[in-house]
Amino acid sequence: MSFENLEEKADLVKYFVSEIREMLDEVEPQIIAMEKDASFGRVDGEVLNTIFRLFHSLKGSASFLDLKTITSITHEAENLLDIFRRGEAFLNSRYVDLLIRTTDFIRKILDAVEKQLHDGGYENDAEQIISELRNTLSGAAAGESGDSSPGRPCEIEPEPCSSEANGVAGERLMANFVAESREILDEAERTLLALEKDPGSAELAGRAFRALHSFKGNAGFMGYGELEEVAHRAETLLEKIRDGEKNCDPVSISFLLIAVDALRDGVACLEMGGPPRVEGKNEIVEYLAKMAGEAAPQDTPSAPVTDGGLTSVQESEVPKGAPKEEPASNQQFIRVDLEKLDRSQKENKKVELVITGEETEVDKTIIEQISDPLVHLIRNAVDHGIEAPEERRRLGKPETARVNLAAKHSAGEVWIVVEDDGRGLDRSKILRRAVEKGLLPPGREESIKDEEVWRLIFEPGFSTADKVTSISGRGVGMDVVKRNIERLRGRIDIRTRPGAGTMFAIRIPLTLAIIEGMVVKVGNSRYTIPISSIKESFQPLSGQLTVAPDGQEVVRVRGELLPVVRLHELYRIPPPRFNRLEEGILIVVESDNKKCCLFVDELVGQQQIVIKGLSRYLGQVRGVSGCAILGDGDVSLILDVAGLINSLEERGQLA
Amino acid sequence: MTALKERLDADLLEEEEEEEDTQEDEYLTFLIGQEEYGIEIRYVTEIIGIQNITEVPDMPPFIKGVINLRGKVIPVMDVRLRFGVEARPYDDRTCIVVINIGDTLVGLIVDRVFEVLDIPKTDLEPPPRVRKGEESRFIQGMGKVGDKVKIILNAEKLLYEQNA
Repeated sequence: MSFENLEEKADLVKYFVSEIREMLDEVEPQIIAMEKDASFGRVDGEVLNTIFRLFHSLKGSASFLDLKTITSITHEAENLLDIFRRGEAFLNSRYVDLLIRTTDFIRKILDAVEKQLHDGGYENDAEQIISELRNTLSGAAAGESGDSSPGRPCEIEPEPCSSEANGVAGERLMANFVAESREILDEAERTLLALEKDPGSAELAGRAFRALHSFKGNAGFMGYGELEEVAHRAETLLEKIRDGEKNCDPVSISFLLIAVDALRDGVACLEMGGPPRVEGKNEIVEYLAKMAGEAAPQDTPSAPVTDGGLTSVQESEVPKGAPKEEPASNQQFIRVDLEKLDRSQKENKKVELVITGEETEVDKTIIEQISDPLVHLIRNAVDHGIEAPEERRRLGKPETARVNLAAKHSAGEVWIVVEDDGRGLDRSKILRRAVEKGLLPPGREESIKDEEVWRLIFEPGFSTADKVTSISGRGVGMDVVKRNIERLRGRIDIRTRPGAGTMFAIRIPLTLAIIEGMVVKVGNSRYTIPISSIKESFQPLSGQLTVAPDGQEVVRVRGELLPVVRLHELYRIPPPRFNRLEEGILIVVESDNKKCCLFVDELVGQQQIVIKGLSRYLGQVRGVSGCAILGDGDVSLILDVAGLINSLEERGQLA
Repeated sequence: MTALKERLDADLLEEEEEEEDTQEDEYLTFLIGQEEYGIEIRYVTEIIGIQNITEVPDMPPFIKGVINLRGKVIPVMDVRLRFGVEARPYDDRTCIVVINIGDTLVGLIVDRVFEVLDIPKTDLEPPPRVRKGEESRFIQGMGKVGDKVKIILNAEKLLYEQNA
């Protein structure tokens, strides 16, 4: 790349130099740490990946600025690391030393670059390092261990099954492992299903715990890290359930079942001669940890996986350890990277990812929560949405499909759109799958609205991929997407046209403290209900109402029977204006797919409110999640819909 | 080094004391029913007229709810009800005394506010041993002012003392 404007280049170079220095500061301690590990013969695959990515980004930036010497050095270093990364060679302290010398040398060049704006003059020194790297590389690739230090292959995942050294004995061990795992996992599944019916049983929880515990032990013994980790997380959650530290709710059970399924698939994959991988491991692990009330496992500080170029340079605009509130460039969420799309090309799909609105500023918390969902959406678009090139050609579409990722600000919200020009969602296929999975009672297929059909794909356990591919189709993704977005008080909407494509529109409030609320009046009090939990509101007809034998009022809404909660009774406030349900308004609220109806006198109106905590002095107030100051200065309590529904559930008033 | 640190500490201590000194012995007095009460001025952040109060469910009767104090939502306590004195409709002399204890703001609803009085420690007497009525649990001492006696309240107890 040539620069007509020297000043522009000077600026960029300055930027680059400070950027690279930062990267080096980050990578050096990791290399040194790796040396320590290397002497024990094992290196954390993630660390190696991080180092690799840093060199990779460095190379990208350098080549962009036409710094040939740095480019070629980093290229060689990257090649060397790649060999270790792929577990094809041993890593020992000699290589670590060489890598450190490489980074030192890069630093030296940087000093010169800063002054002269190019990296000329160091070609000879560079040549030396490069040849050293190359020699090491060929040595390493040939399997020569360099010096006599004992080193085991530093595989990311020790995979005895694929490593020939383990030979026949390894194979027999693995066969045993597979057979035993099947039994154990079957037992775990049976127990979990029983536990779902009888959530209070510590005995069942204990049995499931023991099953996963044995599985974990076996997987650990075989060195199948991912299987071990997932089993470990599931085990921890079950332990808490068994000890009564955690409620045995349906969500936990369904995640545990997902985990067991994933483990089973991992074992099956192993049997077929594949690696013992767990598809969707990170999500599963994260959710199990969250359910168990633990901090999600720390991901290795993710070095941006970029395709090189400027992206990484811009990335540094985000100050490290920036305070949460500080708006940060959303560059980060665009680490929905091209590497994943490369995979799709292997599967014979041609995809172009178009990103717009990178400059949109987003709260850092949002970025953290949104980046995984975006990866999922894009993967899904590529995997499910986009047709194979032949099919596209037949349909008269351009062979290369487009996936748009766009972000913008609009009225206090961030809008993020993921859009593909693929085949669109298939109504009948989704319905068929939903009925199959028991998400929809059979016979309702005709009456259900399109929008409701699309929303089915967010149900836990839903997946329409006819076959599970390497990228997606495990059914963990979409419900995780929805949950993450809802946690940010956001909404996700789907628009789709058969044959033309699908669009997912995500809207997230800019600050988490502002929500859309519906102000309702009960007697003289005004309460606020978050719009996000309101399904609908209506004035009931007397034909819709019944009273259950226990006195609970029930309203029939389109075939569903929902309990009615009279807000004034709940809050023990003076009686409302209306006593008969037919006179007031019923509001259907939902949390976690459970619904109930709130009875209020009237709807005052919808408004944006700033959530404030109630005073510490009052402590936790039942049914209230906070308060808001209304336009006239009065305080309105915000209804805690989730808490309300949970307490109804505890009283057995929800089916 | 140590000497320096000690000196610094001593200075800091002194400063703190000084700050408290300025407000020590000063009490805000107010009326509940026929009795005059006092509360240490260092707790009082402001005095406002009665406001719209939003009821909060599941609270003891003396917690009337919350008010909007310039964007801050603070709970208000009706001191009459806290003392077990019969409720009385609020009027234009009803005041909310906002106090701050350990960063918790609470409004105290009182019949009317009088003045800030200086009552030296020497004029303070321990609470009477026998005294009927709910409020005896919150009394810190009795302050003599001329020939009158003001009941000095312990703000902390007023807020946190559990109901008998």
